[in-house]
Amino acid sequence: MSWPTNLDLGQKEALVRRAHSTVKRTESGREKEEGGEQREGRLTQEGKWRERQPQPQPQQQQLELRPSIPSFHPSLPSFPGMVGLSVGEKHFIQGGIAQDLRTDGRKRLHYRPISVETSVIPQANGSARVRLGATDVIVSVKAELGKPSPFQPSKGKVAIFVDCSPTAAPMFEGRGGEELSAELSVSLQRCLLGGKSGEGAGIDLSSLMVVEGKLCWDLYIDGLVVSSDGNLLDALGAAIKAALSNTGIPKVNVAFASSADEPEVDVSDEEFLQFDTSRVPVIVTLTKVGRHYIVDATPEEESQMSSAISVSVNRLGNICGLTKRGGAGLDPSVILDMVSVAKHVSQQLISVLDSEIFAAESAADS
Amino acid sequence: MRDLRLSLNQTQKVRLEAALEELQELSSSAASAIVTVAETIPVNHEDGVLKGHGTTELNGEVVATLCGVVERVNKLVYVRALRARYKPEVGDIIVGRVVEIAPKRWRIEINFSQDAILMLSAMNLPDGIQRRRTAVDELNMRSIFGENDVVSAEVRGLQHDGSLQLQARSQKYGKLERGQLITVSPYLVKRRKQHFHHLEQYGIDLVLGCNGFIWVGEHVEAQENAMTEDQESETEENKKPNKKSMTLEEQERTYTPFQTRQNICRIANAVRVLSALGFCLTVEVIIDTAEASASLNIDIKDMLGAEFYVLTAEREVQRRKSIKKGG
Repeated sequence: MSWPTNLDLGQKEALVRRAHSTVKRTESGREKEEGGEQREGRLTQEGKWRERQPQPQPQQQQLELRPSIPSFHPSLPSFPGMVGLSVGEKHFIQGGIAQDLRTDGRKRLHYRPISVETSVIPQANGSARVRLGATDVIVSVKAELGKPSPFQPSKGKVAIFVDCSPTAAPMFEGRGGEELSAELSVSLQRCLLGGKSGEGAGIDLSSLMVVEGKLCWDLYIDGLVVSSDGNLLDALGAAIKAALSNTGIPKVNVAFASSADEPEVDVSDEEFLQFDTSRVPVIVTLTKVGRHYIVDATPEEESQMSSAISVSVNRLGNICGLTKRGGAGLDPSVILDMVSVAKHVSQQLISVLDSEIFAAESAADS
Repeated sequence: MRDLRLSLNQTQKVRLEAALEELQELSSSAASAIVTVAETIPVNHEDGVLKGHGTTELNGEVVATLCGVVERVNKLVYVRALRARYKPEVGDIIVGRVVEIAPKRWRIEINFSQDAILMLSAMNLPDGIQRRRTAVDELNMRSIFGENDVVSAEVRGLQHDGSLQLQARSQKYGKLERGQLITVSPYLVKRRKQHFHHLEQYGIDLVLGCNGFIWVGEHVEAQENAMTEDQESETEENKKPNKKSMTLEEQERTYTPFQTRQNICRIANAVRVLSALGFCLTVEVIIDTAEASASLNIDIKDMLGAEFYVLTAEREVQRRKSIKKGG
């Protein structure tokens, strides 16, 4: 974990505390400060630091090495599973996964109830909000006219960015969410956009072309994690699918002036083309805990994972993308097994999601 | 009802609204005004008013600065916020999670505005002998409670500097293992005689912490004498290095039995449903809800679905009606 370097000792100490315990949000902020002061006071005694004075750089580094600061740093997990669990609870969770009955009564391959809301952002071309347990994500799609890249003159461009709201979890405050945002963006790009050449993309890029080599639609897909309760990637994938099916791309009339290079365009304000989303994949993340793997892991379960594989599968059952995270390696046969399970689960998820999207669209229309 | 994120269909929506409306009517006779921020609290200025917590004076009127319930004690008028942190009282039984081990004390997160403190001297030693705590004891503190351990304890008192002291001077307090912790709003747990419940029919322990931390776990026999506990903590220590070498099969044999696990999950989901609906959590209601779900053949995971929420709300209406008739 890298610290922003321009923090003084007090701020740094506050950051450390914020990362390790739930943030105290009380009506009386005074008490919270008292708690902090106590801790700093103790530090002062032991480490002879003077409070709230800018420290020279080398001393700050020393601070991180000091044994009096609880040794949380080595155990920092890379993914949101920033939950402290006792040995007994960990054992209980692992046992539940082994016995196919998880802590909330689900089996290994059960999703939590998923709810979809569309057209949540009126300015965007399409938007959707997906809730999965207490995980809450919003995705908006913005379409702009642009120039296709010279390497793929017949294709449009899609960019995916994800942002983690600082309110989602205590560790997202400040720059804490940046790492995760980048990780999620890359995973989504890999799962939905295929390779660098655009081959095998889950989103049909050639449908975004307007004039070959001259004009195409650029889709900007922006995700926002409002609240994090595990399984962000699947939720974002579902939200992207919902947002794309909610997206209307304005109809463009192109008039070719005989002499000019640039075609003249007339973007219609009234006519919109619906995006073909039947082939947009969903993402199924299989989290491996012990010998078994589960879908839709909660943060507690994610903290126990050895590795996780995210597979994006479309309606036809084709694999559109695959990412792995987590430290532990996987046997190739296990991966194949996981992929086939993911394919099976994805078909259920797609049908659930489709009915939810349909219900949301009809609710938004009425 | 912050956690209530349900996709209700039309009939369920109507049923839930009807049930909640009825509940409101039933409770309206209790006459406790609910205020939001900037709402005027009606007071009789002739009697003289003491403005308490959550109130302020604006243009000669008493105005609420919090969302909550207006409470009146003689002249004092204050607002009790519903969604607030836990306010400890001496003698409360709480469940918390150890966040830090400091010299001679554990710091424990209990959803109070600061971490509670459990002194080493305020707890029974594993060997059960009453004596002064030595430096060796201090070094071995982690073998009693480590970081992230879930523990139950009792509120001993507030120090002058505002810090909260706990004590665990009984065999019933201590580490909680093999189960799950659910956190709910503290106001849902009322102070009662009993907070430790052994549900014999399910073989599980239910600890309703006054701070809104609820523990549902496998039943553990209370230690008869202190010696067994000592041995156990020792074996626990020995087990730890072995755990890695244990094969997965061996580890699986030590897991909670499936039947017990089902019961734990069912009770835990009953707690989740009730707390999401904002109903008070007493052991009777929790068991009643769990049994209702079992008798209706509702799958454990479907207890968190829309239909069971509506059913639970309707059952609560029936329950309160029958209490009213009886009373």
